[in-house]
Amino acid sequence: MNWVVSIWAGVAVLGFALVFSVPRRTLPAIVVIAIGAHLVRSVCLELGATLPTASLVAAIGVGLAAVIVAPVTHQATPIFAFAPVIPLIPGTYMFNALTGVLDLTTGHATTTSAIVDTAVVDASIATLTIVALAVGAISPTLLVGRHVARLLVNSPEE
Amino acid sequence: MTDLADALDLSLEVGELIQLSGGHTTRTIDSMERMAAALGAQESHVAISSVNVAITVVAGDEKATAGRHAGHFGINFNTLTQIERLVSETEVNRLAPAQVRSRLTLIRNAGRIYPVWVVMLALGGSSAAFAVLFGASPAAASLAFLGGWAGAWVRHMLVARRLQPFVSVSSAAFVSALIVAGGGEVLGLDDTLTAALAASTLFVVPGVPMLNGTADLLTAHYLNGMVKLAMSAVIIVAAAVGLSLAVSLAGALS
Repeated sequence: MNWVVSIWAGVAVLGFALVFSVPRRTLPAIVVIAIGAHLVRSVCLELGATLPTASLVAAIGVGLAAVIVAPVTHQATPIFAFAPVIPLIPGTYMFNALTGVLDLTTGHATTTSAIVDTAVVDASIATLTIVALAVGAISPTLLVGRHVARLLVNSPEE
Repeated sequence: MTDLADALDLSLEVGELIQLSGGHTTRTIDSMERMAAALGAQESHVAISSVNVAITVVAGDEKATAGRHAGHFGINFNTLTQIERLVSETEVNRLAPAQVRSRLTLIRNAGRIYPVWVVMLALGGSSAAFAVLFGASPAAASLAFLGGWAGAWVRHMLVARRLQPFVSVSSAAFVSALIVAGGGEVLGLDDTLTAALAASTLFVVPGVPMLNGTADLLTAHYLNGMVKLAMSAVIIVAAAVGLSLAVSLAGALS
């Protein structure tokens, strides 16, 4: 496994963090969480997990990190929960599903079945992965965010 | 203005700012109710739709209801943080309505933290990083940087002209993909161009609305959740249209 590639997840998250007007001093934490999430997903994939399952595990890790770091740093939870999962979006699967659909318009009857199979598989993996990322990133905030915040700083942060 | 009128008005202001800045429905409701209580309301009831916020506050025999339009989904996490801090401070330190109003005005007028050109460069960097993550070669990743940077500028300029998301997103995706696909043809890149193409248009993916929509569904705010997910679907379709047009055009010209 190429661990160094995960560092690029930290670069990928920076652009989105700036678009979202994330405060400057929170950027290092977001980069670290994004790299960590990518590493977790890579390890899960190495252990044989499917992409949606590996992404769910990584996103839950991001969500848990967010509910701990946000109240300690007095920031809103979405800063740490939302941006770091964006590098986990399955871009190539989304692209392949789209190009598969476009290939159907060429009308080559002999290859249509294979194209449909590939496009459906890619679209299913992409959709399930995105759902897994959303559910994983947001669940810790909704389930334990308030309780963790009270434990950590005794304030009503979400 | 009476105390109840202050609670009503300032809670609405809080709700509007959270909606405008990309907060999910539970966060909006929670912050509005906390602000109303901190300003003297004994009871409050919040109603949030995709484009409106409304609240009823009760204190003794008095009751008042008001609503506001809050329709656009710009994302500004710094505003969310500032609002969260203000609500907490109002609860703990019992800030006066005038102080809360003045802080809210500052938050509303704060604007963006980073200069536009820095954000655009960073989005280009994100596109290149995505390309590397997807397995692109250095040359393909460079094209992704250029495509992402140019596409981000296009979207920024079209959004500034208040064009509909379908137009701004499809145009941005078209420009990004055309640069990558055209550049790939010129440079003779084949193997990893797919990764660069996919990466160059990812800056338009509506990550926050998708996450907020999911959060709304998981917290039983079904209508708001469906609206956010529908908006995300429109944006993804728009990106797909721009991307496919560019790929077709580049293929036809080669």
